[in-house]
Amino acid sequence: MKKDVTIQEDAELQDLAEITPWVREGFARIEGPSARVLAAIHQEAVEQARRRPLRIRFFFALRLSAAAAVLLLLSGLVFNVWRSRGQDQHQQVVQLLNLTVKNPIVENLGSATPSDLPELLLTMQGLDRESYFNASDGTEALWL
Amino acid sequence: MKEEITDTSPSDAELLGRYAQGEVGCLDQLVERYRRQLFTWFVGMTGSRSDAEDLFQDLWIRVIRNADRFKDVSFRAWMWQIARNLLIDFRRKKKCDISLDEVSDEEDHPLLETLVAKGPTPQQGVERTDLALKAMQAVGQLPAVQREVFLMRVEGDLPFQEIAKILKVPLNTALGRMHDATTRLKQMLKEMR
Repeated sequence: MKKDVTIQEDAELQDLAEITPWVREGFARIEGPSARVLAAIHQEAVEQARRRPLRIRFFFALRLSAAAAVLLLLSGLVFNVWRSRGQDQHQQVVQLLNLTVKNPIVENLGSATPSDLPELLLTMQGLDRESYFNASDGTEALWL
Repeated sequence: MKEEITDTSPSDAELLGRYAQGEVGCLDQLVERYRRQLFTWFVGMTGSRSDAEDLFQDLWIRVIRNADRFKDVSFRAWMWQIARNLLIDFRRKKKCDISLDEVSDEEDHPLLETLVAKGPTPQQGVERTDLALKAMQAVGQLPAVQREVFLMRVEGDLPFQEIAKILKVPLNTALGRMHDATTRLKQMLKEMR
């Protein structure tokens, strides 16, 4: 349970001033810490100070290697993207070439003579000589 | 007599910074600056000289190992915070998970009585020595929560705002504990005389 404490400052300070010297005198009798403890602390301080540059160098090397690893990863990623794009382009060219090569008209081109060319051109357009020159809809009147 | 730090002497943070740069002597200066306050506080709180020595050593080892990471405004508050955490851990180990704040008056046995104090010097009257020892015993009989505030104020010279911050309690709580400790000590000393 909480108690209501009325602190009277003057009385408080007076009490404290009365008690404090005795307490301080009592505690002043405590010698220490021992020289062994102080020496151990000093030794630890020396050890840590000696290790600190090594630690700094280690962490620097660690950061450097981490940065190098990230850089390597990124360059690998960029190279991969670049290569996959190149492969796509290559595949497109190959597909186009395949299409071209598989076309019977183009295949026949090698054996065609100059006189065959008009025929070939019509074939490529999906026409033939007969239907082109002899239209089925008859002769159209050329005058009104 | 209390050691006073003059304005010309380097600040705690400066000394720690210089130690972090490799000047071991600066750490020795820091240890010397707080040696008495901290050791007395540990003795007062544990009642055992050897435990106080262990805690004192652990405290400085923590300070040394974290010197690079120290970015706090107040070194003193940081150091006292470590001291208190060490004490809480120590008490947990000794009292099976009882936190310093949870220790009740009944559970808190005075350990200071076991402390071997130095005998009176020829200059000191026997009566005076006796009173100083009684004052120490009386402090040892205070509940831990009151004792830590009392010793932080009287031996550590810490302002109440800082004590409240270290203990993570409102300022009024710290003041209240100090008031209770003073009242109790006065009463106990009256009975002892």
